[in-house]
Amino acid sequence: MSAVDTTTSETTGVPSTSGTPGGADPQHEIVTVGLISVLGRTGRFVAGAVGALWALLVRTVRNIAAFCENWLLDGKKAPHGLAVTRIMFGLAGLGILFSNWSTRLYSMGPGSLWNGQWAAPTSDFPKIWLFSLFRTVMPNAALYTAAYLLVVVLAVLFTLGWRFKIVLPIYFCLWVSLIESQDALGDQGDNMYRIALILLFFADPCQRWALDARRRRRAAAKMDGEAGAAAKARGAVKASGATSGSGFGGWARATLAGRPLLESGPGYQSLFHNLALVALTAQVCFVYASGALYKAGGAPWQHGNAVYAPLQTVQFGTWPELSDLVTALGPSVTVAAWGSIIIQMCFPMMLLTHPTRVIALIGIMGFHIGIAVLMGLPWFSLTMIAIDFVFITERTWLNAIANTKALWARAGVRA
Amino acid sequence: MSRKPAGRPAPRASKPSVPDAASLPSAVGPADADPAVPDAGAVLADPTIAPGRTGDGTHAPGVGRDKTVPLKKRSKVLRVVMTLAALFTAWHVFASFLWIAPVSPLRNVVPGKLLSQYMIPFLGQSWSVFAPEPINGDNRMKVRAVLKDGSAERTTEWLNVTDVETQLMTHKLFPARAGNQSIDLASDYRGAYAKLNDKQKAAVNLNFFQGDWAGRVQGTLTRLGDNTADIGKYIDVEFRADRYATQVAKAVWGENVERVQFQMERQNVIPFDERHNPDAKRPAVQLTPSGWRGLQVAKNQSEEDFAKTFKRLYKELHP
Repeated sequence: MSAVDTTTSETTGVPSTSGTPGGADPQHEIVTVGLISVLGRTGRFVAGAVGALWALLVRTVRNIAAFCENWLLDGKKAPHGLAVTRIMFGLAGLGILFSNWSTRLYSMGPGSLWNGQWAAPTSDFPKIWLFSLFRTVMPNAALYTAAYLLVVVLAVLFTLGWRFKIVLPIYFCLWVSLIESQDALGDQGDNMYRIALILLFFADPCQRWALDARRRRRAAAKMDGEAGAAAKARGAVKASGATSGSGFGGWARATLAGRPLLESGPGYQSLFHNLALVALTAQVCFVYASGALYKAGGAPWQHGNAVYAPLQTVQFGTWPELSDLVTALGPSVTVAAWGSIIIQMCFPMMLLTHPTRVIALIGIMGFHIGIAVLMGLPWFSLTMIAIDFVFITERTWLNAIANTKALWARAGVRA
Repeated sequence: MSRKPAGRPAPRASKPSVPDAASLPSAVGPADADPAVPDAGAVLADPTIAPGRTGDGTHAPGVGRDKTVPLKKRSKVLRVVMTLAALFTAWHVFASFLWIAPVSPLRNVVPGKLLSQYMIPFLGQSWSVFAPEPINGDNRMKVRAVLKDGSAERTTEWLNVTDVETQLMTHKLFPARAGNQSIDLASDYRGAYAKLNDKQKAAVNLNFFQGDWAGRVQGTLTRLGDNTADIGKYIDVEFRADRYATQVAKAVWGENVERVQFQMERQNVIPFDERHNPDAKRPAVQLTPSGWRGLQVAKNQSEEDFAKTFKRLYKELHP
């Protein structure tokens, strides 16, 4: 080893012109050896790099898969946000029912048959049995009013989150029947409302601020008191099912007492709930982005004055004095027009980080409040705003609740 | 379901000491709490630390600062259901995307009529609202009638029914949907009328009110053109407008209405640049006239329920 080293060091010291004659050219040999060693090293490096990249790729894919799986299966997301969505949807439903109450027989019931929707509906729904109630009762004022009041009751129960899994399907069928029986009177808010209700079938919007949540909590507390530690360990609600007896009767009693349908598999509950949230998020993002792109193609939007003209019409300028006021200043008209496009277009991306999410939500809610008040479309706007509430993070809700409680407590101390 | 990375030791070379044990437990949390993760609002961290794989230290990737998301032990059935449900959601999201976006060649990747079959009717929607060009004028409808006055006939003044109905909207925080009825009728009628040819347009401006007048309107239009679909749409909206005008006339002028006439108007708003000009006037009314028509009442129509509300609104406007 040392001999070789010495030879090498000696030969390297000799100037190239006085190379040793005869035999192999040592310099050539050295270059070759060096080349081979560099090539070998490069080869090992490339192999190592490929291996590292491959491992990185595998690890990344695996991490993404694990993240998605954990996100989908470990707990139902947005419990407060979705509860607010439910409440606001219920209020929007009640709002529509209340707004049209005094004209229901004139424009939707027996007085409306001139418009042909009873004889030949333009919507597909009234022809489907499940959604045919309101077309059926349309010519009869008393029956129509009774059905209308039934929807009012269901909307209240929906808002309160009472027996949601039972109330929702009934409310959905009757609501769609009512709205689609007068297809021409509706707006796009009706479509959003229906689609969101369909997605709510798979979600649990009654984890918070709902009578269902209160019942589950009470059942759990009661069991805590009665059954002691052993039952507690098994899960209070489950224990209530066990004490209610076996068979269908026991199952029904336990389920009505608040035991989840997929109790043994919380992963399944989370899965469907969270996928519904994914679909709802995609729905809202597509609606906003496409709305922005459709607008961007029009000259009035490009020229920044598009919000002026509709506000000057009777149909979409329900407060003419306010319309004149808000369109008086040219720059504010352009801010409203371009701001609408930008906030709608950027909404999906702005959800990605918390600060931009806050800006996006404030911006989009301002946009909808403007539509609600200035354009006379309050229930369309409330429907859209209601869905946006799922994007408020759980941390923000918890902070808001804690702060509210603290303020309330402090207010009590002062009094 | 082990996702153990392929066992190449190479990456470890970049790190002299391999802190396997150190990197493991601490790596559970961070990915969940990463604020940049686009979750739909939940930050409820799962308190249970992943069992199994992550604890045994066998599959640590070796590069220290990498975060490893725990892959938990779960039942195979749950994973299969999860995959299927996620794939279905992906299809739903993709279908919604194609449906909400403008019609494009990308729709061809969905075979046959599957897309519309999936979307209609439950997921039907259209979001080009106020786009590309928002509405810039008012549509309105006017109605008048010929009344039998003993043996004589009397023609009423034109009544702007849109002014009557839109009281349900103007200065109302919660407008009733009924406020749009005559506006929509006017808009629909003008659209259908515009599709008729010139001879047909002239023909519908004539009077049809005796005998089987409805059949004669239809026959005349068919004789004057073979645009069957356009004629069908026109007839539908003309008869609808006539049935509405009949209800309005009876509500306001009583039972001795002989025949009715309606006309639709469109008037644009003052252009944006002129809005501060005190002399600016709204552009001229674009009139879509129609001839006199006989009365038409839909089967099962409650004239009372129509009249009660319409008369109330009429009296508010014309005390």
